[in-house]
Amino acid sequence: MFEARLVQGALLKKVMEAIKELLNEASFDCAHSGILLQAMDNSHVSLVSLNLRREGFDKYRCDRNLVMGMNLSSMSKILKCASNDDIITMKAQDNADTVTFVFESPKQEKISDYEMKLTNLDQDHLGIPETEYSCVIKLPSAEFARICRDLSQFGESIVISCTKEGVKFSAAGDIGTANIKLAQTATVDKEEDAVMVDMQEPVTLTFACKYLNMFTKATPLSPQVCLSMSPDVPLVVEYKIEDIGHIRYYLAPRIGDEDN
Amino acid sequence: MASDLEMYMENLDEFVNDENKVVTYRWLSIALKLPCDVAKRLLNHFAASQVGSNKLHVMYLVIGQTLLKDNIEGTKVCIVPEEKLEKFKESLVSVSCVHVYSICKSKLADASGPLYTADYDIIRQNLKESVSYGGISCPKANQRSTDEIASSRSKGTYLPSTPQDTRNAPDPRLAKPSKTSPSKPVIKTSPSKPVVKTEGKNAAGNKNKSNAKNSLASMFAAQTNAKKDVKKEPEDVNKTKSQVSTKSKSAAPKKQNGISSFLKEGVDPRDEEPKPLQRSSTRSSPRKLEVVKTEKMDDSPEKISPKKLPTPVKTYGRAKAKPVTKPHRSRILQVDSDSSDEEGTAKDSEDEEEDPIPPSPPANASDDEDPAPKLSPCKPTRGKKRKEVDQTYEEDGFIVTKKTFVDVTDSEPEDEAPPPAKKPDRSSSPSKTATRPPEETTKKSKKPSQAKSAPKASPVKSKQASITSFFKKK
Repeated sequence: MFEARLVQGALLKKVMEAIKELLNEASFDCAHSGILLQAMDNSHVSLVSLNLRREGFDKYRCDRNLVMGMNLSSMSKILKCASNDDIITMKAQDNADTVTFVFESPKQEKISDYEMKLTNLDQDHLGIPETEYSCVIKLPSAEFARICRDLSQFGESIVISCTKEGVKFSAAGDIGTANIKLAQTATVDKEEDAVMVDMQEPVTLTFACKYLNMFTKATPLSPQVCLSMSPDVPLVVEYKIEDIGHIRYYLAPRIGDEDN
Repeated sequence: MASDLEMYMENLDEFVNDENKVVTYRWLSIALKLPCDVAKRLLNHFAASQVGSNKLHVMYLVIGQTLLKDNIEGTKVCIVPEEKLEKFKESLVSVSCVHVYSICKSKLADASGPLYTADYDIIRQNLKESVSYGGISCPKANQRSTDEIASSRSKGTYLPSTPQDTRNAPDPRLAKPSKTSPSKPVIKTSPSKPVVKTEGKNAAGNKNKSNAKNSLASMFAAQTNAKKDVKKEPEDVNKTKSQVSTKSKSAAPKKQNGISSFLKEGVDPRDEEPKPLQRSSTRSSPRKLEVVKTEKMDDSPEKISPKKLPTPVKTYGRAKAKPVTKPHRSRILQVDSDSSDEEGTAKDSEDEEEDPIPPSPPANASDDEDPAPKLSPCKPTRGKKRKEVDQTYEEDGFIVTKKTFVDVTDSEPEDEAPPPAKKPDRSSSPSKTATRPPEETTKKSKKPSQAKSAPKASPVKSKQASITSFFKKK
């Protein structure tokens, strides 16, 4: 028996928005410690890793480890039926081939449940090594979304270069070039508005705009985003989800562009 | 309730100030699903609350009694801008109704068009519902099913249709619009109202008939003066047409239901009718026409039908108007030809771009060149004017056969240029076939570039590393 009750149902809706564009289907690994999801996009360029800890749920019960393969577009349709203030509960029997979503309105005057068929996905999990990244950049997530959106008008790829002065995002294309430089902010009222660069060595990497833009769908989940880069390893874009976990996107860099 | 009001006010503010809409009370009542009286009050409240900022232009709908020729009393329904409101009120003998008709941010130079279109679409989409927002309802009125209507039709004229009734019923409507001349005379009074009025007039007998005629005639005369010559031609044509239509329509008993049809069918006929009426100036001509006829052929019940069914006449007017819009079509054609020209030139430039690519070193095979290989396969799909043709020619000592796309309209040389240029891409594009001895290929000077073009076919992947190369499977 698996049951997870989330008072902030909107959170699950936002998570769905954050991954459904990148992934068609994914398996939710439910264990005693919480729910994990790891999946690559179809072109195997990026990887999504979602972690929802059991502490974040109002009620969490997982008797046996359970892998639920879900079609994300179906799940998204179901979650769209939930209001933002609904309480969402996911339920599944052990070895069941369906999962049930229960939406309760705040005053309990309306309760709806939706049952969705599970699919069998034989997805390989990748081992992600613990890495010390050369550069760790924290910036407001809305700012990052804005930068990716703006730069994607210029070219297919964005060059992120991190130096001790700050971080520079640039793109070049037919219409010209674009550069956005962010300096570290000295003092700031709120931590989440700050741009912070923690750098061991300068790094410059090139990434596909398309994926960065899909990552920024997670913007509503967190006011701050953390980008971690090291030479020739995937970029990590992490959005912390308050009190419950995080969603991390890994994006393989484009190689060879700098030669030109 | 207070929060409701606030919400409505916010909505209104958004409609008026942010979306720059012309908000009529009909539109508002449908959009917010409110009774139209509430919508009127909301508008009034909103207009009052915005007076300070002074940027809203308010139109009022005024209904009042007026004296026509020969001391005959008539009812005027008029939409007037705020500035003229007082003056207009003074011109009436008595005012029976004043309410806000619409609000908008900017001043309307010619109110008729914008006011008319403001709620046209939404009312059309909500024909049925719009009835329910009216303040007045007739409990005895039942909407007829289509079956009923059909059966009553087959029975023939089963209702005692007094010509006066039916004619008078539409008259007030026509009268109202014509008076407001520029502003749009949508008849907002609840369905039963005009009917009531006409009944009262009928009681007075023939006199009323002449009244109606007088008022109508005078109004139309006024209108004709304004529009004059322009209309004359269409009028004649319309006359003949409407006569035809009169006859044909008299056969349909549905039209003779008159008032009862209004009561029973509710909004549908009314809403549909007034709308087309105000569409364009050309439409006013059919109206005049009807007046003329009513005067001449009072007694014939058939007269009614043209009024009740102004739509056919109107559509005729529209059809006529279409030729005027012809330039539009031709413009579209021009655009087409332009674009195809552009395509041609674009293609040329592409070809030119492609030429330099083959000799260029492999290092250049980067993002910038990605578009080039992508473009070439799309070409065939582009123009209908292109034809797929096998081209065989001798090049560097061997015979090459290619499927190329030839512009039928354009001169051929233009197309002969592309084939050699495209060669490097051949390996990636299936539509082209080349017959070449393999050994010779190796000798060719172009060989290196071809070798490079192979990876070019999937440039994105070659450059975009896969995540799996960084993370190992568990």
